[in-house]
Amino acid sequence: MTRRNTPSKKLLPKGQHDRNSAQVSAYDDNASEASGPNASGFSYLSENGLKNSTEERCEHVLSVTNVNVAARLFVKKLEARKGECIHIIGPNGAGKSTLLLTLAGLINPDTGEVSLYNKPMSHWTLASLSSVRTVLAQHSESSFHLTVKEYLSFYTVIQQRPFVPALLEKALEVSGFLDKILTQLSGGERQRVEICRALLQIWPQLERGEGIVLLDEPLQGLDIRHQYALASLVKALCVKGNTILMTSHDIALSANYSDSLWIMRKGEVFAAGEPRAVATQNILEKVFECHFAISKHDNFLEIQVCAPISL
Amino acid sequence: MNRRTAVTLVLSTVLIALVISVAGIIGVPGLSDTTVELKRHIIIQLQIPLILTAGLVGAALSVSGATLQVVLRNPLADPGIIGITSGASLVAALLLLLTPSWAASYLHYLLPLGCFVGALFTTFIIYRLARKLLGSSTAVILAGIAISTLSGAIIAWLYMFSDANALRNLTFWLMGSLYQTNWLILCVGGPLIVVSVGLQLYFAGDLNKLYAGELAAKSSGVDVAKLTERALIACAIAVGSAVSMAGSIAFVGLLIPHILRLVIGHNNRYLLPLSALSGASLLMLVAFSSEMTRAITLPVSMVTASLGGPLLIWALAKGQIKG
Repeated sequence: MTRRNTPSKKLLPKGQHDRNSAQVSAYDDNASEASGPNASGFSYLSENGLKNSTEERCEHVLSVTNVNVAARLFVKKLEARKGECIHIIGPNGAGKSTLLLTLAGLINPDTGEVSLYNKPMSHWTLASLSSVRTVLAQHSESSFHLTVKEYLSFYTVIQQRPFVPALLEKALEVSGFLDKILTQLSGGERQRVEICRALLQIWPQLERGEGIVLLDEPLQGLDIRHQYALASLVKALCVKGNTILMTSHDIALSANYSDSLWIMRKGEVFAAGEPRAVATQNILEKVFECHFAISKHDNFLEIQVCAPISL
Repeated sequence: MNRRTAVTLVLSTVLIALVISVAGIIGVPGLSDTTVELKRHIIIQLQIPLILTAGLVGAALSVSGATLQVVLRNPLADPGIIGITSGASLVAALLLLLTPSWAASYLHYLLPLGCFVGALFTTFIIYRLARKLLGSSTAVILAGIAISTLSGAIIAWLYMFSDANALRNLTFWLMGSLYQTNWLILCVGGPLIVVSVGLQLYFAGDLNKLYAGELAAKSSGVDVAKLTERALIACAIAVGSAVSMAGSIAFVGLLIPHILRLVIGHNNRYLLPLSALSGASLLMLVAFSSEMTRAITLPVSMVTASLGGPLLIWALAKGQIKG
């Protein structure tokens, strides 16, 4: 992990960085915290005035209650508001992908309930879900030699011009290889195509600001420029009103580009809340078992990994 | 070359092939100096069933091949390779070699039924085995190879205990022959093939979404498990009927879809219907060439494999198929 200085002016208004105590919902499997969502870190949006009053009227887009998946994921309570940009971080095997796929309705929890727009996931059909939310999963391999354009066309719901919408093209820059063969792309190019495919699936909804996007490690394989371009695209889509959750291994980027940071460890959500509140030395060192140097600047959080604790 | 020109080109080539072979087969009895009465009898009882069988079997095999390749996400899938054909062949072999002499007159009707049951049964076993073992599409192919190896072994054992006549019968069955059918078999197998091929064409849109993998397909609203199950059953019905009509015919299911993908691309909405047409016309051409050399009856697999081998190598060289 390297240091990344990320000026993100609209994200964190000045004077916010001393409020960590009120915002933290660390150890949120602790029952008293979990029972009241407003006591946890999720209420900050309406407090800090970053989002206007529409947020208060809005229902939770996604919520998870007492979910348990195959001894891999144990979540007491989690909620995502409309327009929220949530980054999920945690070590390997912490359950990030499982949580994401559970939220997407692609994994059925053994116990507990996931609701989308206050309707239990079991009441949604795959077809109706597909026009509300989209998912980018890890490791999709194709052994067929399709062109990128053909591949994307299968997931495009409406025929638009240009083929790749300008907003997507700006961040993902896929137009250059629309005629290339999918399997001949480099890892990062392939990843950009995959992100583009996932977003095209609900593009009309995303343009109206009604979409829900779940991205599992979208930054994987991207070069540094495209990583930040993607993080900005995600922010921009959230500002429109879309709700986006993504997992990431880049703590510094995630802390600066998210509205809310969920930190996972061993299948549990260890801390969740506003990045300035939860990305603390204490929490990060406990979860990632590394030494961190964190300094809070006016408009960004500088997080630097020093060394693994055990070495 | 854009897709529209490619599709038009393929379509016209296929239609020309169809017209030539149909006219050729119908015209064959006209070459000899037979009476009108006899000519009509030959055309109705022999030539038309031959054309229909060739067309239906070709369509069934190539569409099933195309579907299986996408459903199993493996470009090497083929009704023969994943064991559906071999299950049907095994039942055929058992029936041919073990039916007692008193039942021999019913054999003609027992065989198609047996093949059909065999194809369905092996598909079921392969699917269950694959689900139990690994739950992945590679497992389906591995299980299929295991099943077809096993049935090949059983057929080889049966060889040792059978008489010469049954052996000759069996060889033709295993190499494929378009001359085994009559109207009765066509009346049973024909509708089954039409329905199961139609079903596969109906799945085309959902099949397109499988290119991005199982999770992406599910994310875009396709129930992958259900689709896989239904597509496999449709393939089993189509291939089972095809094998029951013409024995096991190699390579058509692998060859036609791959060559078409090179020309028109991967969109199953175009690929599946054109596979059906091209497969039908390929087998009709084989039937036509077989009619032209009437002194010997050519086993179909011999022709398709001789054509298919070089074409497949060409496709490999163009980088279409990756191992």
